[in-house]
Amino acid sequence: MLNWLRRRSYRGLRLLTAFQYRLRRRFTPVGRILLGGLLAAAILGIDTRQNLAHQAFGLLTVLLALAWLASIRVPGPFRVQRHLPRYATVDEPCHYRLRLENTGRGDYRDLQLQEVLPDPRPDLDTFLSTRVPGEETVNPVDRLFGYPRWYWLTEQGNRVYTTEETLLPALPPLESREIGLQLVPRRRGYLHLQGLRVSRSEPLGLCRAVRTLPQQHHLLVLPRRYPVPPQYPPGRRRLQPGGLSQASAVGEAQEFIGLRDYRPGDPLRHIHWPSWARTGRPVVKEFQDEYFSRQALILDSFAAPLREQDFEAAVSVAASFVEPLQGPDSLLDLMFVSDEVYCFTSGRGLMSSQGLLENLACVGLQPDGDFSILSRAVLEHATQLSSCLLVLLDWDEQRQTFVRRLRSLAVPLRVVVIGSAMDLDPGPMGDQPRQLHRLQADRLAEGLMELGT
Amino acid sequence: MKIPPLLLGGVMLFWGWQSGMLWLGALLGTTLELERRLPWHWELKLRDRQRIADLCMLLFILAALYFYFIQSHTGSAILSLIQWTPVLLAPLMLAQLYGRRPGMEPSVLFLSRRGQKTRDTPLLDLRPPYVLACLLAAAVVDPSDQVYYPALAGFVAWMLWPARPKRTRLWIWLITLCFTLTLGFGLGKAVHWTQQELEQAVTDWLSERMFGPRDPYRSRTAIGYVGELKGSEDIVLRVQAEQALDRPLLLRSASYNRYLSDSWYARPSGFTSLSQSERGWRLYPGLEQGKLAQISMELSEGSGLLHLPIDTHVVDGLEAARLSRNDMGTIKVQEGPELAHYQVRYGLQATPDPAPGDVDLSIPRQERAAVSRVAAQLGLHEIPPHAVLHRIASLFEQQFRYSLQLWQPHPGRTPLAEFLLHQRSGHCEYFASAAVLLLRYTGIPARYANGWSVQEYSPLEESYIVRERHAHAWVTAYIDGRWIDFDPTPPDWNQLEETERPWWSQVHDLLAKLRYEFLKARWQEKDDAATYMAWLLIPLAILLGWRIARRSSIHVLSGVESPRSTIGHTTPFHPVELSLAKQGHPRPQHLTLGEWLEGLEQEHVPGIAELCPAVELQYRLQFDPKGISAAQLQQLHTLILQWLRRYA
Repeated sequence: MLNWLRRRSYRGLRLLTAFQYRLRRRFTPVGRILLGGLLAAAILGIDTRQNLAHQAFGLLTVLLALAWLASIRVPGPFRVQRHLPRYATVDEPCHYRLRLENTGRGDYRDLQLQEVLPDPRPDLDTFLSTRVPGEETVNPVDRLFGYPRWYWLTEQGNRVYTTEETLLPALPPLESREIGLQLVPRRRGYLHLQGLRVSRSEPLGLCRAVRTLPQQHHLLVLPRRYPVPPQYPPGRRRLQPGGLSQASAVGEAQEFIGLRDYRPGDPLRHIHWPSWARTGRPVVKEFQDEYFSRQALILDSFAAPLREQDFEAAVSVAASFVEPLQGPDSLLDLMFVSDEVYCFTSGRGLMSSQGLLENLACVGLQPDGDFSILSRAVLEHATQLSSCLLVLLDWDEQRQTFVRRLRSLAVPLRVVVIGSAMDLDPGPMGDQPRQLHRLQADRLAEGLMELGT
Repeated sequence: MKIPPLLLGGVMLFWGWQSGMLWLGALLGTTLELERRLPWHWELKLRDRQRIADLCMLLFILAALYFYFIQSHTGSAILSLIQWTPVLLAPLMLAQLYGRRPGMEPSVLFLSRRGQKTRDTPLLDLRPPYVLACLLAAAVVDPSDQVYYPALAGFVAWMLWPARPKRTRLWIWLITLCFTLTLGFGLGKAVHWTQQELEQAVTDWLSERMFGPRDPYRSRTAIGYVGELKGSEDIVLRVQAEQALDRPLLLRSASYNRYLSDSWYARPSGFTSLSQSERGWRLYPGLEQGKLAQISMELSEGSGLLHLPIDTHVVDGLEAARLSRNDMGTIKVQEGPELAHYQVRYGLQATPDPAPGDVDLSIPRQERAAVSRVAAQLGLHEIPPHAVLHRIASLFEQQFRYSLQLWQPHPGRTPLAEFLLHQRSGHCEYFASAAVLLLRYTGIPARYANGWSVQEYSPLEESYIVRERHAHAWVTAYIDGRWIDFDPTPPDWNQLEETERPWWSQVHDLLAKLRYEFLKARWQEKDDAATYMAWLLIPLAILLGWRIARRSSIHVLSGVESPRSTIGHTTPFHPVELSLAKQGHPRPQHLTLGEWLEGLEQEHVPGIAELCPAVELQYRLQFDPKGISAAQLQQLHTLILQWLRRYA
């Protein structure tokens, strides 16, 4: 019954928002106000013998009808070319330019331009299955029909803060203009821009004729980063068996230092076949082991769906530490689980820190995952780590056990726990309480600055 | 959206003038416009704004209740509420204007959005809808008003002027607007005319199709229908008689004199207004005494047919603008209350109905054979009129049966002929119609009457009650120079219907009683109710205002601009930051002013210690909710100027 009701509610809300969208597209703010007035006048003036609202109804109807008729002819045609930067960052204005060419014969002034953004509305399954933060506190009627849920999901789907309409300079026929635009992303990940909307108001300024110019682009939005005090991670240089290439955990070591006789246990792929042919005995290639500092940044992505905000804060914290932890001669491993375990290494000619941020831009919350997947992967890797920064979403027994085991392997640790509760039992970090930090999602900037003190 | 200066004040003034409350309009308009001139403003938190919105909502509810109780019609109450909208919304408007805010958050206006983040949501500017609300509220005036449209057109043009595209030339804009306004005036008139025509057409149609039984000119009967008739238990009338009724009292709604195709018609004739004296509405001048009965009934929209005993000569206590009567004695009430409560004097055997005409003796050709056959069997031509009545009543009582089961007439026979000659069972409409035609056949003028039969006493109501199933049809016969009631239906008809009473009727009656008491409180004690409501509203409003003032943290900030508007390059301290940046000490974005200066002092940058008093004032300017005085602001500027002269 509840699902049946919510399905109907979903359809109703979808229709309503589609209507609102079309209304906003075709009518200017003044036009929308007058449209509301028209509706009110129609209701109030239903009995023309009681009052004069029918006169207001007549006036507003004619105003809006004429404005609508005057805005039937769309402006254009136009050709548009958008030049986007490689990256944008959450909450930071992204400036870009586009060239708009008037390929028609109309001489246009007062044209307005706006980005067409992806539809932020949730699909039916998401609407039915998602529980939003604070849903249990909303009033029963709203909870029954799911409006707060719809609103929250739509907000989540809005990847850009409301883009303002940009007034274009005069555009004579067959001429083009370069225009600077700006958008402020509100979510990390890929932002799919659909196209641009060019509109023109009629003489009264109530309705507008709209032409949509398809122009699809994808812009990668990096996580928001905060200033972090300079970091001097503890720990010493560690043996990296097999050298730099092995350190990145991909392919064979390439620091070749010579040949030697085969010893039992040597891998067959290290056999140097030409030398065996020449000498008649098995000879293997020998690679140089290396010692250097290797930091690890571990991001916990296991939490309930309602803790989306905390997870976003954790990603921001991890992103904020990418640059400070990246020393000139050291490696930085970024490890997290997003469907599977990922380990990306930057430094010493491997991936750049920008690459790590790109990966952080796309990491997703794992509401049904098990933290042990991440802890196992890190522990296998632990002997090579000089130090480790853990960004955790909880401080439960499982995570404390993980920290305990890491410390037993003599890996220096710094732990950042994202959450709202301020009291934190240090547990395995009891002897180093200064290395355990609790950060609140809505006070990240202050919290991160305090990490340096 | 830009709102031109003085538009809000002008609209409020217009509203006050139209509503007859010029002083209130002028007061509110001045208050709304004065905000631009005042050097101070209110510092309202989100919670305060939400409380003010709640206050407006509560005021709306209280005003709706108040108008509902004091106005005679629900429609008038709604119109009064709309007329007062500008006053009821004024607190919210003032909160926006005096809070120097561009608009209100959606969470202020919509309860569903409470508790959600408001940081990124666009604000809703209340000024344009408020202007429109005032203009619509000003429309609640006498429809003959000639000022409204020109003023409305002027205000709309004033509102549209700043919103026009820059490319639009003035003359194009003016011509378009004039054309639109002229066309709009025509459309308004057309709407008015169309509504009148449509209303007339719909009224005719409804009278034809739906309100047949209470149409003064036509009564559709269930004669000829097949199936079962069921009357509801709804109570439609309450009658308090002086003394207990020894036989059912018949309250007539309307009379008809033409029978055609199973329906009764009355020749359309105009209604004549009745005069009202100090002693009530006089239906039969010259008569004063008689039996007294008090009747309560609901009138839809204050209009309808009045249910009265046929020999009523005075109707008293009915608060209606007009009472009128047609040739058939049907009384119509107009512009009355929704709950009519009136006393009637009756029983002096003097009926005010006009004398009969030829039509009161006519018998349809197709019914004549059956009627003549029955009349011949009864020998009606040979006996005096009173004996005719008696013989017809005896025939129906002894040889006919009352039944709500409707039968299918034999092909080729009319339903009335089938009733008289074959089935011999039917409901009151059959008996009444047959009796009218039989009486006419014997030369006695007769009419078909419908209305209600008062016979059930309710201890709960302490009065007689008339249910919908007590709807009845009977005959008015003209005998000895006056019209008298003659009920030919066998007297057991009500007992038969009583047996089919549902088990839940007692609960139904209780609910009906509650509803009646509510309506009585609303309509009969309205002066007291209005006074009571008004006195109740005053302490409530005071209590609300006090609670808001006590809980809110509204501060009046004076002397300096809002701290929120003094960020970045507009802060007095900004030149110091620029100067130090030029000296190679730029302020990192993540450091507070104090932390930054403290660091510089440790680096022994000259002059930093002297900035301490200025830093303290700057912090107070930015973060103290009360701000700083003009003198302190001047002191801050002086300190910074002195420092710049020395160290910049």
